[in-house]
Amino acid sequence: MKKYLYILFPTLFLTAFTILVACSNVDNLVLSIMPKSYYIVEEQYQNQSFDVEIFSNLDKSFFSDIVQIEEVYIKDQAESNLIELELKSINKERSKIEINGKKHYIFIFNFCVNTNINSTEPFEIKESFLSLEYLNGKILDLKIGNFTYTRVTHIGSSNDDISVSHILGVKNTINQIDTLAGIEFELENRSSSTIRLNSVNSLDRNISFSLRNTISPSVVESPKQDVSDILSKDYDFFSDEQFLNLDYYIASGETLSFFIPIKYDELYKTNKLAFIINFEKQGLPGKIIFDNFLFFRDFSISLSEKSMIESYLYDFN
Amino acid sequence: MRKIIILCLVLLNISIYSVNASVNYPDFKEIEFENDGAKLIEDYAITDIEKAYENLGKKFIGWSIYYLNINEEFHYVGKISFARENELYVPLVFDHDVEEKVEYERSVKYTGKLNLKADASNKTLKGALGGEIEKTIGTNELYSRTEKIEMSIVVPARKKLCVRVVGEARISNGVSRYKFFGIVFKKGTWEIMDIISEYYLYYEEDI
Repeated sequence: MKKYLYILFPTLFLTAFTILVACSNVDNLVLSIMPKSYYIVEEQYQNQSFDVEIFSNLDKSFFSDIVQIEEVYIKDQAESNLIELELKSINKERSKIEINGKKHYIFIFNFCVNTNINSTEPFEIKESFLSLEYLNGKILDLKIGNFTYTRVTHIGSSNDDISVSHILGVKNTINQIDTLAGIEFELENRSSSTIRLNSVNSLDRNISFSLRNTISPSVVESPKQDVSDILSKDYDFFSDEQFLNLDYYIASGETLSFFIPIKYDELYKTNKLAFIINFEKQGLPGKIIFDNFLFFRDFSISLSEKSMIESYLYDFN
Repeated sequence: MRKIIILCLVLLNISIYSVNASVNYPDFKEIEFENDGAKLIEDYAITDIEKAYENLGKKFIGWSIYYLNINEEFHYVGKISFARENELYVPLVFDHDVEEKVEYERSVKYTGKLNLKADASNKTLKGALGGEIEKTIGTNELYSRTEKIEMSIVVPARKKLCVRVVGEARISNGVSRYKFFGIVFKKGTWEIMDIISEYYLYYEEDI
């Protein structure tokens, strides 16, 4: 009998030890993020906020505990450009997303810029990192894409001469990403003189309007129509083009519809855009500044879009 | 061509005066299927539904399902999500600051005692019938999005500014029956609708 106990006790001890180790093994934290183009347009310092969507394999961890977050920055890799942010809230979405075959929780971090950037030149951080510094000494740096802060003189038209009477974004699948591909506009001349439309410029520095490929009147049939179909020719979303002034005239009381495709410097999924429309009336320049408009919202991430997601594994064991 | 008609309806603002396109989905003012033969369950005649029941077969025990439509995509003209009127004779500037949580909901409708529901995470359909249907239509890969919209907007003098939702969705529907030793215990129609994308059309009108 004793002989059996000598075998039984070590076996029980080993089993208990193995169970204890297995139970105490905390999952590693995996954070995932889809790089995007973030930007803020303000007339004055308004503490405007923006959201960053972060996917986490853990429902609860220090990562998503707002009281544990000490400081937040957006910076480039060399830290030659850095801006402090204020974290306003962290919300967890009800639904989950599958990344690399595993369910991830969706957290929305809401930030605002903590500094009054009083400059006419946009403050831009390309390939920026969101840096979350925690009270426990841990620092999480996540590549979020481009960040731009732009201060503008005014929002809307500099006078009541012209107004944007219609806009519709066209979404295309570019390199397997569903993103903004062009915008259909309609402008109304509310003045008593003819107005000349000169240009349309994006306030997202990663995006430009292809003025050479503008068509008027617009022939957009659907917000998902291919740009090459709208233009009746092949279209390249990435090639550089020389600046060109538009040369459209809008008579008093008339409207002008036109479609302008966009070009990407670097491709990020884009569903919002702010832009400036430059015009001339009786030789005097004027502009309409249109704030960050949400053109569309997708309720899914395609497999190809998921391949753009960057994941980070943190082993804190 | 159908897409042009939908867009024209929006541009001409006819939809404001039109009745809802669906009883089950009152937010949809116009619906247009990609496939001409596809329909919402409410648009089938009673005789068509009866024929669908006849196609359920002679199963002795368990669920029988007959699919009228499987993941048929359609375009819709939705509700006005935002409107602001300026009765003044000068432009009106205001900050549109809304934390719009678009909680994605897989819409599940049924008649009879089918009791077809999605689980709490809105990802899978509950019960044996739900499981059977998901084998055919696939599980829900869609998820909620919260989008904080902060923008300054200018409404010109004597104008009304509107933002209307247009979008794409897909639908599956059919009839089902549960039998136990040849006796019918449950019987009804069902429909599952997923919104895939929403687009926002901005326009002004005179007041």
